[in-house]
Amino acid sequence: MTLLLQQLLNGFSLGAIYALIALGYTMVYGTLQLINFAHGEVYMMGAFAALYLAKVSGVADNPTIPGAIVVMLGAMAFCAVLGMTIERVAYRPLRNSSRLNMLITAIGVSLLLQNLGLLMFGALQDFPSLLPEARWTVSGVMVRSNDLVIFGVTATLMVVLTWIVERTQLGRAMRAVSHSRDAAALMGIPADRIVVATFAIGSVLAGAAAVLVAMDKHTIRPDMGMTFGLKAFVAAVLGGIGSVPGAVAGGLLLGLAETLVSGYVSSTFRDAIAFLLLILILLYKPSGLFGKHVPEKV
Amino acid sequence: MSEALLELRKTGIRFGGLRAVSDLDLVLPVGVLHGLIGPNGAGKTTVFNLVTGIYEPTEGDILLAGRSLKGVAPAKVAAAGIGRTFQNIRLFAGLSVIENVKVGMHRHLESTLLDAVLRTPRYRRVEVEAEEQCRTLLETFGLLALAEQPADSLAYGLRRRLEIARALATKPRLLLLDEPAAGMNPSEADDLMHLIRWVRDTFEVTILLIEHHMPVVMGICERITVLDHGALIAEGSPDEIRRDPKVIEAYLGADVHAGPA
Amino acid sequence: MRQGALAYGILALLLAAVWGIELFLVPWTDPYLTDIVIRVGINLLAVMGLALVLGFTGQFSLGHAGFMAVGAYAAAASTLYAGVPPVGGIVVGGLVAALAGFGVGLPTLRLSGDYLAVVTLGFNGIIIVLIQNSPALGGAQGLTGLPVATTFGLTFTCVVLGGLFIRNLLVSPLGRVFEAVRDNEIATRSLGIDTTRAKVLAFVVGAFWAGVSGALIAYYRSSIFPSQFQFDRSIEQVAMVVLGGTGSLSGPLIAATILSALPEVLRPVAQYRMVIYSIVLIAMMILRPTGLLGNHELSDVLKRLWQKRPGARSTAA
Repeated sequence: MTLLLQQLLNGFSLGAIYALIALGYTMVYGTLQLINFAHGEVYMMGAFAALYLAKVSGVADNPTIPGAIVVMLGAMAFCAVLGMTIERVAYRPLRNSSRLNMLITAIGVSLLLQNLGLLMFGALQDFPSLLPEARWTVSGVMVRSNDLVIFGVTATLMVVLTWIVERTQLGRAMRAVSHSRDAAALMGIPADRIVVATFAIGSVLAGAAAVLVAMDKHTIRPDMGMTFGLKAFVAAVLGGIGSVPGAVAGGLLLGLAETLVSGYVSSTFRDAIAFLLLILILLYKPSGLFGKHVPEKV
Repeated sequence: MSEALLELRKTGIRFGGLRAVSDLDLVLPVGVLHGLIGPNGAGKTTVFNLVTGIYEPTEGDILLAGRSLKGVAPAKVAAAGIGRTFQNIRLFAGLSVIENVKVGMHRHLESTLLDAVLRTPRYRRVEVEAEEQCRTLLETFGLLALAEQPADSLAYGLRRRLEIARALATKPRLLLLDEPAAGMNPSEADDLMHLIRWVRDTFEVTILLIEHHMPVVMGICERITVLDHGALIAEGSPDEIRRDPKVIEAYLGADVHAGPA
Repeated sequence: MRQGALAYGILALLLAAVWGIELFLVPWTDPYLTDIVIRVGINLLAVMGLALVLGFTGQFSLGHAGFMAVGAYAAAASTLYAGVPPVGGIVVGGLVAALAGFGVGLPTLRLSGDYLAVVTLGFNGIIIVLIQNSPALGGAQGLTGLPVATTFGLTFTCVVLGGLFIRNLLVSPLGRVFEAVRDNEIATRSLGIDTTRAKVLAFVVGAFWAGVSGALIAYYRSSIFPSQFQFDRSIEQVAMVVLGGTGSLSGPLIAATILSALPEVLRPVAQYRMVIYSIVLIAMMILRPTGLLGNHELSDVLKRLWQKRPGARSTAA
C-alpha cells in the first residue's frame, strides 16, 4: 500500500511535467497541424538558460524563493523568445508547403538546437538547487519539497492557461484559428499573430517544465529534450491531439503508467511504455481520449 | 424500381450539432443522367462524400444495386463500381497525364510485386494492354497529344477532363461528377456537357452531376434534384424544376442574402 | 519479351562489372579507399529503401536505422546461434526486417502521416533499448566473433540487386500507385485502390533493404553495437533522401554517396557534421523543397543537357 502511494505520488509528479510539455505540442498541432519536434529542444534550452541565469544572478549560491521565481520567469521568457524565433525563421516560410516539408523542417530545427547545445554546453552539466530542499515521511510515503513545487507551479500555470483559452479574446481567436485557419482569417483574425502567440505560450510552459525538472534531477543535458519531448507528444496524442484537457489527462496517465511499470514490472522497459501506449491508442481510438474525430476535408 | 442503380433512403449526416444532410431520398435508375443542384453550402458535395464512403451516414442507408454501402471504405465503394471527380481537382501532380489514367485502371491490371521486379512476360503484356486502353481513352477526351506531359502542367479545363477520364478508367457503373464545368467559359462548358452526354451513351454509365451552370444542367440532365440546407426541396424534370416556386425562392433567397455581403 | 531480356542483360553486365572490380582492382587498391567505398555501398542500400518509402510513397519514416538494427542482429544471431553462413544471414536479415516493417507499418499506416513519424521514431528507440537489455544479443557491449564476409563484391552485388529491384518496382503499375498515394491519397482511394496496402508494401520493401544493409554491417568488422543504429543514423538517411530529391531514386543515391564520403574528407570538422546537416535540411526545405534532382532521375537531367547542345537542336525541333 505504501509502495503504491509512493508510486502514485511519483507518477503524478512526472505526469504533471509531461502535461506541461504536452500542452505546447497540442496547441501548436491545433493551429498548424504540425508536430513541432523542436519543442523538446526549446525545453532543453530553457534548462540551460535557467542554469546560466542562476549562476549570473547568484541564486545558485544562495537559494531563495524570490530567486527561484526570478530564474523560472527568466527561463520562461527565454523560451518564449526562442519559440517565436523558430516559428518566424523556420516555419512561417513554409506555411503553404506540404506537411511533410514542415515536418522535416521541424526535425531539422530540433537537430540543430540539440547539436548546438552539445557544442556549447558539452555532454552534461550540474544544476544547482534553486530552493532549500526538504523531504518528509508521511505514513511511510516520502514527500519531497520538489514534488510540492512541481504540483504548485503546474496547477498555477494550468489555471492561467485555462483562463487565457476560455476567457480572453486571444483564447477565443486561438480556438477559432485551430478550428479553421482560413475561416478565421476571413473573419479578420490575424492568423499569423495567433500562431506566434500559440508558440509563445507553449514555449513558456516548456520553460517552466525545464526548470522544474532541472531542480529535481540536478543534471541537465543537450539531449534531455529528445526522448522526453517525444514522450510528451505521445501524452498529447493519448489525450487527443489539439485538446487542452486531453494533454493534461494524457500527461498524467503517461506519468502514472511509467512509474507503475518501472515500480512493479521492470525499469528496463520504462522508455518503451510510451510507445506501447501510443500504438494501442492508435489502434483502438486514434482520436485520443478527449479528441473528437474530425473527418478530412474533401 | 427494380432497375434502381443507386438509392438513398432517408440518408442524413450530422457533424456534431450540424445537420449537413437530412432525410434525403434519391433514386437513380440505370443509365440516367441526373443533376444535383442547390445554392452554395446546400450539402451537394456532402452527398457525394456519403455515397463514396468518405463520410458514413448517421441516418438512413445508401444502396448500390440493392447492396448497402453503409460503413464500406472508400476504396471498396470505388471497387463496387462508383467513380468520381472532385470539386477541387485532385490529380496526381507528380505523374504524367497517361500515368494518371493508368492509376485509374490499376484495379483491373493483374500485376504483382514479383511480376514487376522480375519483369515477367505477363508484366509486359499487361503494361502494353494498359497503355493501349489508356491512349484510346485519352484520345476520346482530346488529351492524347499531351499524354506524356506532367498532369500539373495542364490548363484548368483540361485537368477537369483528365479527372473524368481517370474516373472512367476504373470502369464504373455510376459516375459522380462534382462541378465538372466550374471555371470554364460558356463555350467550353457547353463542349464538356456534350462530352458528358456522349460518355454516358458510349460507356453506358449512370451519371450524377453537381453543376452550377444552369443552362447546361437544364439542357442535358433528364432529372434534377434540388437541395437546400441539406434537405431535398424539389425533384423532377428540368421543366418542372424551372417552374417550381420553392426552387426559385431558394435561389433568389440566396441571392438576396449574398447581395449586401 | 525483348525488354525483359534487356533488363536481365543489364543485371548480368552490372554484376560482372562488380566482380571484375572485386577480383582485379580491389586487391591493388588502397584498403582505406575500399573501406570508404564499401561503407558508401551499405548506406546506398538503406537509402534506396527510404527513397521508396519517403520520396515516392510520401510516408515519413523516422526509424529506418531501426530496421537496419533488426537486420543486423537477425543476421548476426542466425550466424552465431544457428550457423547460417553470411549470404544466408543477409537474406534472413532482410526478411526479419521486412517482417518488423509489416508489424510497425500495418497499425500506423492506416492513419495520417504524422503518426508514422512518431511511431517509427519510437520504434527506433525501443529496438535499441531492447538490444541493450538483451544478454543474448550482447547488450550495450555488442556482439562479437562474427565471420568477416562483407567485401566490395558482396556489398555491391546487393546494391545492384536492390537498385534494380526498386527501380523495376517504381516504373511498374505499383510504382505509379505509390506516387499516386503520395500526391493524393483520397483520389487514389476513389479509384478503388487500397492505399493502406500500398503503403505497407512500400514500407515492407524499404525495411527489407534496410535489413540487408544492416546485415552487411554485421559481417563487415566481425562485431556490431546497438549504438551504430541510433536515431541520428535515421535522420542522416532522411537528409540524404530529401537532399537528393523526393520522387527521385538516383538523386538520393548521389546525395548518399557524397554525404557518406564527405565526413572522411572533412575529418577536422566532424563535430559540426550534425549541425551542418540540420542547417542544410532546413535551408533546403525553405529554398528548394524538392531537393537536388526534384522528381527527376539523373538520366533525365543528362538527356536534357544533351538536347540543349546546339548540335542536338535539329532532333528536338
